[in-house]
Amino acid sequence: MIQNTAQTEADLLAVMTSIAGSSPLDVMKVRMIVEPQAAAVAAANARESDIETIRHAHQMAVISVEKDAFEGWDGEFHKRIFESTRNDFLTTLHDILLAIRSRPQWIELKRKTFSPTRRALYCEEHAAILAAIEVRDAQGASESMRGHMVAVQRNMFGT
Amino acid sequence: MTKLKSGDIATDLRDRVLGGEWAATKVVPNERALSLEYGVARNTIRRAVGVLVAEGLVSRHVGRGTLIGDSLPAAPPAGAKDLVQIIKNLAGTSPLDIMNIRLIIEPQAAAAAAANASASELAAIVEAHDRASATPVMEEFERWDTAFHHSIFAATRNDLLLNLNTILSIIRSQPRISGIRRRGFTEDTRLKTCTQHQAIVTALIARDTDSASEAMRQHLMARSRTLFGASIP
Repeated sequence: MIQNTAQTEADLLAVMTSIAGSSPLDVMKVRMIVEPQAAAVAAANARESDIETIRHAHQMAVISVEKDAFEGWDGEFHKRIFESTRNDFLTTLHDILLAIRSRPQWIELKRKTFSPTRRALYCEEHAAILAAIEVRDAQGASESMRGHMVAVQRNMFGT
Repeated sequence: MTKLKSGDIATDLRDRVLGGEWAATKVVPNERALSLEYGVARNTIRRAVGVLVAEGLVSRHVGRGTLIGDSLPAAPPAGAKDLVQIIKNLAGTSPLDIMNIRLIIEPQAAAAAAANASASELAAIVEAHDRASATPVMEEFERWDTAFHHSIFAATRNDLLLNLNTILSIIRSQPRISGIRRRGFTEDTRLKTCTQHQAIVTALIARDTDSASEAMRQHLMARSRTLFGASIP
């Protein structure tokens, strides 16, 4: 059994190494699939205390005008939605996507596309996602998140 | 008029902070000004502001006042979790969480495959389906079943999606999870699976993204019911 676990972890390590080099567009497409669903599951599965943590991250993002602070809380907002799904794989999937997006070429891509206008827009979109999760509207949460992802994609890739 | 409580004032102050009323200066008016405005004692204001301090929205600085978003617990653990931890988490994922994540990803993968698959990629999908249909031997069927799903992910042309499916396959091959499948393996469920695969193949060949997605979803929901019982969404 110990051998099995070691083999599983060795196999996973090999895939993770390959994943680190995923293209930004591939990552964006996966986020487009996964994030709206995560928001929907969160609307159904989150505890009230989970929603409180999502709301807190949103509020912090709203008052964080400076770029790095905003991006930190922006990331935290999405992370807490994944954690609220209470699906361990979804939560880990977010960690994986975040690990890819923490690589230098990503940070450069995000830096180039940041602007105060976009920050304000993202905050409005986050508010809509949060509002849907608060009233346990799974479909609304999913649609709001999809709209947000479309905006993020347009900002990063122009499509 | 009843006097405002510190909780009411905290709520109002929070709305004003988030509404950007003091965004230009990033400073909340001092206690004296707020106590006049709300008509309450300075102690009450102090308690209300304390709530916002605890939330991290504002922070108190001697000589500078109450600053908005200044000493934010900045860039919260934004750092990526380390690989070892991610792998440990993955390796221990529950069977039901795996099935639920497949329900999220695979219908979309089938839709992407319907749009993107080349003729040779479609041929690989069809071959895996034919081979799985042709063998009643459990181990061999499992191998082609896995190949069938893998070849659909390969046809999405999204390397990350393909890698995610590989991760799921690795976890699903662990004895603690494959045991569930094997205990439930019968010729009847094998034939049902093949019929469901056929519906997916038909949609893929027709380049019908909606049908491909729906056929995949139906297939996974049927598998979920077989493996975990009817009560699972």
